Amino acid sequence: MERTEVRRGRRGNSVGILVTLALHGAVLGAVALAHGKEQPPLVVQHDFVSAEMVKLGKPRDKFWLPRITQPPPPKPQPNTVKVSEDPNAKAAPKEAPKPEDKDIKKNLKNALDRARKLAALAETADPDEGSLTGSALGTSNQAIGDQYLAAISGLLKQNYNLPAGMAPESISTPPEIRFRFSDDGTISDVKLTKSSGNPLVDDACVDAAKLARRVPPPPSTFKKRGISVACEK
Amino acid sequence: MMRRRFCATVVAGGLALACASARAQAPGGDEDLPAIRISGAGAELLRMAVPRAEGDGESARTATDTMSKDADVSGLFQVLDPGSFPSQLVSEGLNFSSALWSQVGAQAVVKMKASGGSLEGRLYVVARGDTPTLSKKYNAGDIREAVHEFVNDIIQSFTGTRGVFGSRIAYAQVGKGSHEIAVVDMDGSRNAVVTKMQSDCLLPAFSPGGGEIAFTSYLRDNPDMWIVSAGGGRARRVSKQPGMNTGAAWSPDGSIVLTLSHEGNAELYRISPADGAVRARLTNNPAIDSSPSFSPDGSQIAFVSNRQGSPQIFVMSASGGAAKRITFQGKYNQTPRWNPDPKKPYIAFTGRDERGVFDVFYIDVKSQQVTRITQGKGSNLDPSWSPDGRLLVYASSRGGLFVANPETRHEVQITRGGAASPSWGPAPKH
Repeated sequence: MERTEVRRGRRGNSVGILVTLALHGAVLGAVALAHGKEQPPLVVQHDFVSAEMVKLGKPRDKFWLPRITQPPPPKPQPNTVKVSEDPNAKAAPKEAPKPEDKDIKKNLKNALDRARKLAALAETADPDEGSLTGSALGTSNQAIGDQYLAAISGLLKQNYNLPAGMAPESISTPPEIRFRFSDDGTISDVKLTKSSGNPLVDDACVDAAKLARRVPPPPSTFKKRGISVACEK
Repeated sequence: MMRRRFCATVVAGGLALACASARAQAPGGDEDLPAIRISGAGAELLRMAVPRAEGDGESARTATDTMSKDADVSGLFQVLDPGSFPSQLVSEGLNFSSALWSQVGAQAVVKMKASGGSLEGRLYVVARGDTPTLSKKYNAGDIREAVHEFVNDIIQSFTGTRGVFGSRIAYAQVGKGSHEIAVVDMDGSRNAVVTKMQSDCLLPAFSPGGGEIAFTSYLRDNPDMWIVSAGGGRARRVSKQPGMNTGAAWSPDGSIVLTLSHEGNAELYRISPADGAVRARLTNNPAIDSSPSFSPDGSQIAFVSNRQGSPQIFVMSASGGAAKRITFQGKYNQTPRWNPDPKKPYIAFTGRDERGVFDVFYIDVKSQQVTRITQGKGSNLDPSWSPDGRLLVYASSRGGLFVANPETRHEVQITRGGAASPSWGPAPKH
């Protein structure tokens, strides 16, 4: 009697093991099949979102004594793509054709048309000279220009260093420089146009532009490609 | 006729070309360029080359070493490595070629010829060409003194204010089981112990003329105030009131203000440096008042008090009366020292930050702006201004005294070994 029950129990275990093995085999087979079959490339559409780095943590409590902080590193300037001047240079490999979406293409075309119309309107609505319909606060072109000049000023200031201990009297006459910049903002042709009388002060002013190397690329409404800078203490 | 017409054509053509060229070169026309102004310049060290001095071996070597050290301590110059000078410049002698020196990055070059205690010095500013900006002969008897005078002139030519090399610093030198008062040149040379009392001698303070040093000593088992000649010798006990006689500060008129506790509480008193007689009690408060320091004109006193809880810096009239708290940042601020330059209304002090580290700060008395001078380099204590108000000396847990220029934060160690409570003496006479 006892022997029969033991036999049944052993038979039940064997069946369970066989079922488990069969199931594992089926899963492995399915995985092997899935990998063996060639799949079409996965198309991932990236939506670019402009983001800003934010400072984490709470601002320092004013009750505490100050700490020495390092100045933030200068913002990197956008790199321009240089076109090779070598006539024998190999052409860049063609990009693989991208899958087309009719709706996207249509929307893009509409957006571009709208942008062109707005740009044409802006050119006529914001003349460089004043007009009867102009704003007493200035045109948007002027505002963009002022912002651009302020950006240049901030950039030059980062590189404007006078010799330590120099008395303020040394700069009774602020030196003046002028320089050119290209469409990508690269500075060139830095010249001292008015001397302070102290060559070290003059050099500091010239170095402010030379060390900056480039200014932000000018906005399309900013037509000038040069600037005059006076360096005060 | 034909020749004249040809010439006229050539001249006209040349003018037209010149005009076209000028128009092409001007970026949009110079006169109508947008103009901006920049200000708030930073401060950077001037790159100075100190090639080996000419002249007899020992004097030339001392002159070169002293000049390099002085330029470094001034906190105004970055002394270039002489190993980077090409042989052409090393063998240049007292001559000078601005074109060659500009190639090694020098903005200023110092040339010297030393013989015995006399020195011929020339300063060249590379941007000014090959003519020396300063050329002078010095006969100081000691070559080191001669170089100090030359450096002071160099500093004046760049900053408009003469340097103070040759001035001395008194401090408490840590010995085996005791402190002695020592005096050292501001470049770290000529260190001399001026007390040999084998007790704890602390808190030295130079007299306005620099001839005497007041300090506190525990020689008679009480913190008494003593005065010793700056050149050393026998010290005399001036104030021996029961309890504290500590933290002496000389007023510009020659009297002394210090902390006494003979009436039960630590208060500030004015005493006579001749016999220690009390002339006036300046504070009257249940809190502890200590560590006085005079404003440059002697009309005000900065001091430490815990009358509002933690130790903070207060300012009051030199004749006593109501005090105004000036530090509100930090829980523990002490050892105020007023800048001797009236144009710089700054008080340097030791502050303990939230990490429990002591560091050197200064506060602008007018704007209440606090500026930190040291950070992340051990504990730094007891600042004292140089007589021109340009440099600070302080003791550090790194060992020894350090001199820093607050404008550039350039720091130089001038002594090694244990040191405490430095006091910068007056400017040298010249």
